Amino acid sequence: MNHDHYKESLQLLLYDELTVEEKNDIEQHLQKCPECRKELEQLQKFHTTLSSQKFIEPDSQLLREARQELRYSLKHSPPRESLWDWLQSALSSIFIQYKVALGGVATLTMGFIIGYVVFSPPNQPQKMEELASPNLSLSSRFPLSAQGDAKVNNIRFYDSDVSDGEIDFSFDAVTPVRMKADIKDDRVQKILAHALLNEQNPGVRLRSVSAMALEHTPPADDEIKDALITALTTDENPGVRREALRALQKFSFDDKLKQALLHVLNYDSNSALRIEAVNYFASTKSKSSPAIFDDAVRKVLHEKMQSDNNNYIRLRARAVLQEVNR
Amino acid sequence: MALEDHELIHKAQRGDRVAFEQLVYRYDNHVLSLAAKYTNNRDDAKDIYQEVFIRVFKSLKNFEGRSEFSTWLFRITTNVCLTYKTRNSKRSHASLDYEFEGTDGDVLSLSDVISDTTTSDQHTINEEISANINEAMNALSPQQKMVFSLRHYHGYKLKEIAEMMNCAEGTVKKYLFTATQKMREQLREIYQ
Repeated sequence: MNHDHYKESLQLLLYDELTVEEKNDIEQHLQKCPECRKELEQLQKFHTTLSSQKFIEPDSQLLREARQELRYSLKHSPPRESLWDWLQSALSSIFIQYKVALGGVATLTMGFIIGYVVFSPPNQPQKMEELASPNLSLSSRFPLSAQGDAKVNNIRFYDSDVSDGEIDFSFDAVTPVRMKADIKDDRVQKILAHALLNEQNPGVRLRSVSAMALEHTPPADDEIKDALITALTTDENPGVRREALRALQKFSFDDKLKQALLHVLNYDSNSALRIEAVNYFASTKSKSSPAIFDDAVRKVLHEKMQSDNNNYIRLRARAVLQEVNR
Repeated sequence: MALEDHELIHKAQRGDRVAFEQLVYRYDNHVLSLAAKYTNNRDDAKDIYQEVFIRVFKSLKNFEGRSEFSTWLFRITTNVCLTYKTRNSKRSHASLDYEFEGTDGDVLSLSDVISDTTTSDQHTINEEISANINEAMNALSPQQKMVFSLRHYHGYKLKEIAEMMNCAEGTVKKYLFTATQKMREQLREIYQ
């Protein structure tokens, strides 16, 4: 072994990446080699210096922003399969082993794609005068009014170096709208669902979900139910989660709802939520439905009966299981 | 009982958006952490997060379960990090040779002050060290930076890094040694 190899081994020693034999070998070498001992000392100082590096730590705020942006992207601009991806997957299913043939087709297809990209109409950024007077025509039955000019936020810079006289950036232009409408209106429900998932202010999320919970007739749209389930399982505010659970009780029981309730029983740190979930299973409505009490539900209730740290939940889970097992 | 990954994947592949979200939420904090430590910038970390999960959304139907979902996901994450071009302009920082006047009128360099343990503004010194480490890491190639970040700051084993980057363990070692050598040269005046 030469010294360069030992120097590399010293780095791996500090990262605990050596086998037992390699470790013994380098430790024996260190006893005899002052140069390598000095090198180890320098490496340790280097590691100590690196520990003063400050990183952006993703806090709950950053995670929530990232999730909101993803949800928005998937909802409003769902990633579409490109023409190339579609062609590739379609041809792969027929010519699984024919990679060379695929390559030839790919070349031909690239010609079509280039023509599509070059000759398709470009996306023009919306001009400021268009933003100032947006087309507001949600409904003629209910009064709508714009509440002023578009407000600018969420500015992102692509090139902020102005030495060439130009700057490149994007922004969101938001026009406030006031709306007075029937709570049963599907569009109202969708806006409330959007607020439930995307508003940063927990008070706004709570008022949105409370309004949805008070409306007794469940909307036909699964999107509303999905939004409530997402809020129940991921919102950081227990009040919002509780209202989401209340709102979900007007929907028919299905596998999605069952999974959400089991998620609450297993993972929600708030005992009031777990109590609501176990009470849902205890209600007369649920016991009359044989589809509800499958093995998965019984298993979770059994675990809660034995090990939940809340005495009421343990007792309630036992009572439910006893009644179901009669 | 919470669904296993493969059950959520199966549902998501059939268009169940709630199942897809639940799958995302199991791992997205770690994805964001990888992106944040790689870029050390909030906006860039969010951009990488977005790009990773949009790729996952598009490619999930082709995921056959030959590897763990987490392995596949973190491989996508490292790929996106490696090809990501930051949108922000470079932040300025003081060079170690930057000279300023000390309290008694002597001309001092930043490296003198850093090695002086009696300095009263330790927080500012740490900020400067951090900025220099940032610069040294940004001077590495994307692969060297990724390996160094995953090994030193995330604690992944070299074998795991090789799997995430889809390359041989020997290649990962080479990236690590080269990255360490370059960073030591650049930060020598700080740690020696």
